Amino acid sequence: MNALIALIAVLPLFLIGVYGILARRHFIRIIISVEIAMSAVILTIGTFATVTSSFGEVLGVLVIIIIALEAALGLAIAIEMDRTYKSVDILEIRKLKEETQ
Amino acid sequence: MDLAVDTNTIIYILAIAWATIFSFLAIKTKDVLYSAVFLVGMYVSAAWALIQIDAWFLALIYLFVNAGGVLVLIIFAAMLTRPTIDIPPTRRISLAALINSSLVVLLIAILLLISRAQLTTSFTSNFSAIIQFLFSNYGISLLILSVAVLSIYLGAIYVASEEK
Amino acid sequence: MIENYQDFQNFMYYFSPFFLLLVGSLVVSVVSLFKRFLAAKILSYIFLLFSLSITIYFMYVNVNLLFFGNLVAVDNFSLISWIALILGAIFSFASMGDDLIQKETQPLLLLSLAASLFVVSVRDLLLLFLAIETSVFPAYVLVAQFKRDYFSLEATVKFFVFGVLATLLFAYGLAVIYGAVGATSFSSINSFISSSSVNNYVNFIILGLILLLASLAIKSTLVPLHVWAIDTYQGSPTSISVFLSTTSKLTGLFSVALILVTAFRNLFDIEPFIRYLLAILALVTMILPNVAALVQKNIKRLLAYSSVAHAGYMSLVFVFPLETFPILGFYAVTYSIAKSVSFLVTKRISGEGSDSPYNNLMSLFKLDPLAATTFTVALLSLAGIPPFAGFMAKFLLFLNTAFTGNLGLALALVALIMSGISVYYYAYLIRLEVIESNNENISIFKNSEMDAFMIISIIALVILTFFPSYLYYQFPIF
Repeated sequence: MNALIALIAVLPLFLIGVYGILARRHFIRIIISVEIAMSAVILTIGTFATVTSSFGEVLGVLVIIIIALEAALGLAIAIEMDRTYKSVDILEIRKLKEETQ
Repeated sequence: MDLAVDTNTIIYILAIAWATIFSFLAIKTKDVLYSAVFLVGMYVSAAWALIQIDAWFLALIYLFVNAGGVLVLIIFAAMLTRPTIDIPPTRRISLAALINSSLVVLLIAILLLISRAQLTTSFTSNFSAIIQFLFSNYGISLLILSVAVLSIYLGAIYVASEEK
Repeated sequence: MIENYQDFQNFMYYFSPFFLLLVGSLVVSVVSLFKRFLAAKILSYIFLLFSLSITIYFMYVNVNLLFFGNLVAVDNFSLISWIALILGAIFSFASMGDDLIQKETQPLLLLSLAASLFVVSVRDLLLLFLAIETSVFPAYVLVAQFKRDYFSLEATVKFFVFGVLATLLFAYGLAVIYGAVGATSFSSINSFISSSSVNNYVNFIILGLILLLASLAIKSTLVPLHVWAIDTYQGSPTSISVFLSTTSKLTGLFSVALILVTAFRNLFDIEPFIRYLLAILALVTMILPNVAALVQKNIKRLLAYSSVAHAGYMSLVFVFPLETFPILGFYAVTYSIAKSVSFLVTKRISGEGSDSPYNNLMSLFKLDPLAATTFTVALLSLAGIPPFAGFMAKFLLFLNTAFTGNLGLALALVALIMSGISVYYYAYLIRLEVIESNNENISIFKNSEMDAFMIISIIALVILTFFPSYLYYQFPIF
């Protein structure tokens, strides 16, 4: 199978993920978007791994672990936001910040 | 560029299409808990696509870590933080985000499409080769990974703990 | 894992600054568990100074070694970079007040610094990815810890969102370069680009490099991806701003320089437009923050803009990596000292908060002569006024850039003009220090620890001017 098709096919997934990171307001929704974009990256790495060598799969595993760690930290930050500031809405926080000025 | 399409490719594209639909729903639904449910669908169809190109080891780890670990965390965090309803972004913000993300993806797509490289998938996951890579010189990556995990332990516990 | 035990032993020996910081973070976190915060701080200082002195010793004996099949190296480049990185962290500790010490700050800062040290000594893209992520994880927590006002929260959120984007872009670029080359070590990428098989894959390499640059531009705050930095430097505790604006940012800048002079050094011949892309990046990063800094009303915000501008000057090195690379080491060390000490004085006069109006500087020369002198020296060094080290660094960098050709001459001219504009806002701050005011509500946190560091930094900024060649980079081995 032609790997270029596989590479192009995952791009909509990456688009949705990056769009979600940039546009969404709920902090947990941003982390979900990260997971979506990460899936596109992993699919790309998997495709390249099957083209070249097993090393790609090592690379993919390490990327999965790093982004899982990042998600864990992000969710901790979300809980802290909810507890201390009673909101996980990014725009609302911005609004509150401007009010305090 | 030769775009010969065989059955394998069609199944792969089908799996990716499912993943895309699920991810779209996960972004679009109002309730964050529902989007966590759609995320399961996305994970499973992406893992299906990985198996379709014979990267079953990666597919396995991907499912274990994400569907097993990250998803549980997301559901917990979504239930602990209220409200779970997400307000849709304003037209201006969503347009700007769409343009930015499309630019990134367009750049990738154009540079991929005009390349003259011939890439054919031909390789199956080989467990012993993976182990050989991970436990030879690249074993040093486990050292730095352990530092990362340590800092996340310290950091996440600290951030999520109550302020006295 | 260990094919060659001797190799691993050597690795432990020559990476002792890194391992010392790791052990230090564990020891310090245990000590802080027992509420011995002052002891923890002293221990952190001991570990930091030990790793700094070991680094200087290695530099003195001129270590040039590769470990683990050319994946990791200790050479002149990594050692000088280590000095710049450790200096930022030491100043960050120096400006830390009691309220921050009593949190989990110290072990996390040491962990982040250890990972930063690893970043500049890897010679492999995968390890670079892991090390950069590891260095930024503790930084998220460091910014998040001060649960104080909405500025702090916004700083955290922006830092996290941009950091996540950087991770994704780096991972994608890594995947694409791996797909083209089939390996990720710098030597294999370099030999692939030099070979004839690159012709079919040149788009992949360019795409990968652009994605890597976009990701690292977020880390090293190059315009237009600097927007997070201003709010984060302002919103985070000032002593953490010291760390972010020196160690964290320099990590990104060093890694860009590293991949450009090792893995992608021959790409400039194949695809000249990469050079123009980097030139545009440097140009915008020099002009925009310097103009934006003119209208600021907050000291921390101004220093944030000035640090983005300095990232712009340093990114001149990326445009002509082979010609100007040696200067970067000296520039980074002087920048590290001057920028961190200017944030330290900000901490002294307006505390850890995001609120640091210009008025706090008024009649500082009368209230606290040492802090005022230090601030003046640091700002003059940042502006590039002759007796101080910043002048020598800027002079050498611009001169070397100008001698590379027409493009270099144009860039150096713009840099010179922007440097001139920056003198205006630095001079404005210095002028505020002498203006008399009956502003009684300024509280200055005087302590002898800070005094010592301020005196040391003044001496260093004067002395370094005359010995730039000791801190010149040699080209990294790979």
